[in-house]
Amino acid sequence: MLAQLIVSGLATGCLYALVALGLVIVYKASNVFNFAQGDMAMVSTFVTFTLLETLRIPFFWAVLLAIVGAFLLGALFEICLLRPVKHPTPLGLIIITVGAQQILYGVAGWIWGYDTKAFPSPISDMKIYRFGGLVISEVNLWILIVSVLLMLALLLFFRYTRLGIAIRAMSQNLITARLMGVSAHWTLSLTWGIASVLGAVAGILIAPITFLDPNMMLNPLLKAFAAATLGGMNSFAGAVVGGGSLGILENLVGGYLTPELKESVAFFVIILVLCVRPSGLLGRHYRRHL
Amino acid sequence: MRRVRGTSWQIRSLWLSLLGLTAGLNLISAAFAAEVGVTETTIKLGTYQPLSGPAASYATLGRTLAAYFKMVNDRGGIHGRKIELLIRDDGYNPANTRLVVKELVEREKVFAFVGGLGTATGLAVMDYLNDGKIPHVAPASGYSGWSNPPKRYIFAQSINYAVESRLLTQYAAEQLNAKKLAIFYQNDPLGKEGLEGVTDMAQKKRVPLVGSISYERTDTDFTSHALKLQRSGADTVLLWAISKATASLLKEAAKIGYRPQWVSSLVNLDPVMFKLAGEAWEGAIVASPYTLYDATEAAPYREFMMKYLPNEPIGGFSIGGYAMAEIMAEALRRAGRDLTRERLIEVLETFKNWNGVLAHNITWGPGKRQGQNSLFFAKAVKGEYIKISDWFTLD
Repeated sequence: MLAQLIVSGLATGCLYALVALGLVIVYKASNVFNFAQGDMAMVSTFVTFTLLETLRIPFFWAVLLAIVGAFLLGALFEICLLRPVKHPTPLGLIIITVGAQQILYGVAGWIWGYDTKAFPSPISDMKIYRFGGLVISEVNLWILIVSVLLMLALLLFFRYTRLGIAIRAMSQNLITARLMGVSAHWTLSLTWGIASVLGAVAGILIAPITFLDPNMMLNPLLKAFAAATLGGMNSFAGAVVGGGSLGILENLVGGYLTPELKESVAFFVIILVLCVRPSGLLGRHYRRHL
Repeated sequence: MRRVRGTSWQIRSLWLSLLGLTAGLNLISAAFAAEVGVTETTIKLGTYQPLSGPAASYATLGRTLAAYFKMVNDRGGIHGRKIELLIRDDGYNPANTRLVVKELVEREKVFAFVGGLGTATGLAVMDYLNDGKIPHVAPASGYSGWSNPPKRYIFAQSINYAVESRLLTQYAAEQLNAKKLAIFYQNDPLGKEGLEGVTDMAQKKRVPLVGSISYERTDTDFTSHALKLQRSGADTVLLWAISKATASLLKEAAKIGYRPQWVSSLVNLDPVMFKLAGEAWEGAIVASPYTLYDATEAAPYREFMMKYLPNEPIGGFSIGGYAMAEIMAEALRRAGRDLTRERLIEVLETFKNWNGVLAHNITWGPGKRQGQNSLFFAKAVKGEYIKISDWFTLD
């Protein structure tokens, strides 16, 4: 039972981590908690749904199109909503993301309706693999594989590509980065695009499990915030570790203690972390010179 | 200000004539407008629905009510009057419900309410409507407090959680010969009401309740719930959960090879379950308080859906809305041309084992405000539900 709980928890945790990574990337680049991250993912998942159900596009192409769409959605979000803001304050930007979240939610409800839909995924939720006494479903296996690959890709991107380095540079010192020739505008749009893609992938992976409706990302987003805080809001590795451990911890509490506390345990942990180590497990505390 | 003085008899006669005049006017106006919200050609009804917000998918019920009355109007209305249903959005928030209901009562002056959706939302206005002597027919909620204690102007219709949970348990014990029962329920007051009923009836029928596993509305991973149920060793599991949680649990259970007999609350009597839970839903038994939507007798319902609501899903909420509307229409028909609120109450109390197209066995009476007390069971077989039992009423 222990191993089973850990494996399923890890799969759930990977999804938290994907959403959390999107939050962290945006936070690092623009110092904004993006409350629209979840519903951007939800809209992308609904787009995939429409491509699959209504337009009958094969799964691979539908996902590819949806990912391109998600990238555009994220980039446009930055270009149309955040960039025009003069003299942005962190609070003002957060309110913009909250507003955008409400708009996305309402529009999604209007277009696709609020009733629960089954997501037509070729990855079976019922097919299982057995490893000794351990059962892992095909969908969880995919979640694990895709998440790990995506996280690796991100790691390489930020370590070794010029663009990745530019984003990191910008997050540490905007002015110096600009002096060094980084185009802050386009780098930011790109960052938002990447964050949106991460969300979309999480949405598409989670949809066969949680089903599809405008509320689907509400809970994963909350957990992702928790995971990011746990791991450190400015650490990519922190988001991954935070997400994974949160997923496992939740399942252990649900399995051994009581399911009633399963949801709130995340927040106990966060308060504890914030008290003991405010920058998170792997976060670094930058001193800002103003 | 100067006061006009007169002798006392002068004043008295003035008063008397004024009184006479108003009385006369009242009589005349009574002949024209029989009752608030009723004119020569229309009856104005109101309802509150979650058109937006977290429960927006439930609002299919409100749209079904409206569509049903549109059908009634297309066929000439009731006793020469068309029905006008005013739907107000409360976003499933009790504070809003209060506002919109007040607006419907005081500004729009509706005659009565029908099918207002939700428990917390409904409780926020239950006393307001009852004290104001405004009838509310078939509030869409299974809360037992609607009819217990009975309130003169509230006609609860949906079978309530207390009765339903007991019937579910009784059926599992007597007809399915369950040896060990477990319940899977949502951790909120309504879930607890289910748990209470199940615990009570299991004790009466002497079947051990070996597991009671709750979940939160926000849970997404049901592995631990499934494992716990499996460990409890229950051969029959009662499902007191919404469709998403039910589907997820059943899939998880199937994955770990746990296949008890599932017996579900009527909430899951919905074709969407075949899509959500897939093969795991096969063989599940579900309670139904209404005639099955795919039964031959329910053909008028299916034709209605095709004609008036082609874009709404066939399922729990349109079934409920349809049943509530047909009950209201029947009551208005019985009330006749001289429609008043008191007259409506009078005829609602004459409902005795009344069957509509979907509504079944509706009974109200003086001091009796719980309309429906019976249900039957259906089995999920290859994408459809098949009736497998007679109607049961709680003994």
